[in-house]
Amino acid sequence: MSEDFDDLLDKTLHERAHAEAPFGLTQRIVQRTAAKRRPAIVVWMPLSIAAAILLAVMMWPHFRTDHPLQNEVARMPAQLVEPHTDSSHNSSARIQKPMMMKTVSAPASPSVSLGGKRREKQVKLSTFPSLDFIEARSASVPAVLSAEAGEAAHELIAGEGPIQVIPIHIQTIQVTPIQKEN
Amino acid sequence: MCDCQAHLRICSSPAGDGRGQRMSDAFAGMVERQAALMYRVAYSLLRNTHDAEDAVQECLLKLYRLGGWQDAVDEQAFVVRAMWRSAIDRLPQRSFVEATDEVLPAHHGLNPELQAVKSSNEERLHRMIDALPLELRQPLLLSGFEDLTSGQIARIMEIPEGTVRTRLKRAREELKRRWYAAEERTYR
Repeated sequence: MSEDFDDLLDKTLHERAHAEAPFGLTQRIVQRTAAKRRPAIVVWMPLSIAAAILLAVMMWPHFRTDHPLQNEVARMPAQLVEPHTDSSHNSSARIQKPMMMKTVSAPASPSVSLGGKRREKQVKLSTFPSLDFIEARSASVPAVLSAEAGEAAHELIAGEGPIQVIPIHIQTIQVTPIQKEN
Repeated sequence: MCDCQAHLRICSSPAGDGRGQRMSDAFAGMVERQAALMYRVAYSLLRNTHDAEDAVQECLLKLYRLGGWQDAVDEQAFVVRAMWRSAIDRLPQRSFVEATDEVLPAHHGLNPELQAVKSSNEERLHRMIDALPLELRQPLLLSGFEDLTSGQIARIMEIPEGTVRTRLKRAREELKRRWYAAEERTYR
């Protein structure tokens, strides 16, 4: 009896382990595997490429430092400034700072060139401005004058009322007194 | 190059990436070598042609995406282990009553009555095997594959070879006990 059962068990196990695979199984499996992979290539690759291009286009202006930025600077409106009447050297002409602006830390070495009778002065910043400065510029907000530039402006037109600061170049600003209307 | 390799080459790498094509060729070769065994493993557990084929498809897709089979020391053991786990994941979804919808093979040379008895006995034994705990069922079913040595079974189950033999012995004894208990209830 025990031998009968063992034989039956062995035969059953053998039958279970040797079920014949359906015809064409391998080819069907390969076809389905390839088909399931295809959407990944067809859908996700173009999407990834498009996203990379879009990101590059959005980030590009942040890395450019030449002409487009100068044009941006030239288009900036002038800002009215009230000069400090305090004679202390710590005072400097300060522009009203809008909320988004960031301060330039570059020291200025003014190269003075007085233009004719008009009391104006061009102040050149010696250090190339930082990225924050560029961002502030591109937001059409004039940068805060450095201490030296402010002093130069103050020296020139101290006590004569408000001045206007016009960005000329990425590293140059023009300080001009505002003519009073009679 | 077989048809499978050609098909995978066409479908899987439209950019013509050399590495992708080599991967596809290697995968197609693995499928050619192991698909039949994987089907038999799945069928031995699920006992349904369609479920077994689906299980094999699902397992091979996972293997293709995750890789790993290329680095395996024993490809057969690696693939069978993955197949076994895939097949087990399908088990709770089906009741054991539905487990066999296949027509059992005819027994040539026997009269119809004896054929019916034999078929009935085999079917009963199949159900008893399905009712065994998984830790006993797995080595028992895998031992039916002559392709697999006890060492490979041990690697598939990730247990020592001695444990495989012990569980095999326990599985056979448990089945025998249940079989004769059922016989006794039938003929009482």
